[in-house]
Amino acid sequence: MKMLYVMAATDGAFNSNTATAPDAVCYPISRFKGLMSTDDNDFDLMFEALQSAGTDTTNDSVGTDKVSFQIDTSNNIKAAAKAIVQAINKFVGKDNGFVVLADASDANLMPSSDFSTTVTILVDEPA
Amino acid sequence: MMEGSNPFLIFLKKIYIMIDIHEKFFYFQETFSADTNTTIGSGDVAMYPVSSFLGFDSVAGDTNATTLNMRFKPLLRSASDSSAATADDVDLMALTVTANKQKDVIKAITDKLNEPLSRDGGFIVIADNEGADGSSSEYVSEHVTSVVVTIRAAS
Repeated sequence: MKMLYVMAATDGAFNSNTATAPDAVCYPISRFKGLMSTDDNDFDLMFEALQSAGTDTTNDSVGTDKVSFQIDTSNNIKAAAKAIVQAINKFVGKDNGFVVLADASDANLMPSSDFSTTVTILVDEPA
Repeated sequence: MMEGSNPFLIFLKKIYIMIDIHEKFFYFQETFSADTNTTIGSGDVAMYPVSSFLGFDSVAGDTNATTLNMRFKPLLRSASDSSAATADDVDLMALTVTANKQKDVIKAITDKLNEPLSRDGGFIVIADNEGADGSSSEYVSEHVTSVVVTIRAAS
């Protein structure tokens, strides 16, 4: 099984004290719901929620976690989406299924050079 | 010979793993909606794993016969959110197609779905009205001419 890993902290430390904004998350590929744009330089990856049972109707997106990315080039989301797909589908022998979608502590660990290291993780509140 | 040391079985297992762990993705980009229609806006772009694809339908009452819907498990709503109406629970990619060519388009998409990963890397552009520069549209079939992306609002 492939696992999709995201580290949002630029210092690489796992020390967030915010329950809905951890520094790092890692999802099985089966939890990935897809991608949507939020403007010409920003897009979100959506995942089935880590914590919520999907019944918390006070949250903005029930049962869904969100990882937000920024890219430098306007309207270049198609290339960014392709880079993410390539990262997910790279040969399993290279990583034994561990896919680093983004690591803000090292610009070389972003999917492409067009990606900013500004990454935001928002997990759904527990139900 | 023990099963664990049989080279042929090990080879088959590796092949199975290679097939099993890859995923294809459908990409959609509708017409620019931001900055007086010059840049990508919120919800103009959507990409889904094929495992979220629910299927095709043509549109009842579409007397022009130029619509083909592709429906997906929703990005923002929870599948277990019972407060939402059933029809609102799915995301809709509405393709505009040449009149009565829906079957051809479905076949073209099915071809893409089943072609080797080495050809597309798993990234399948179904419809892109704009490209990065606003003038380099791309469609999975010559019979697709446009797409409207509808991502259901969060509940």
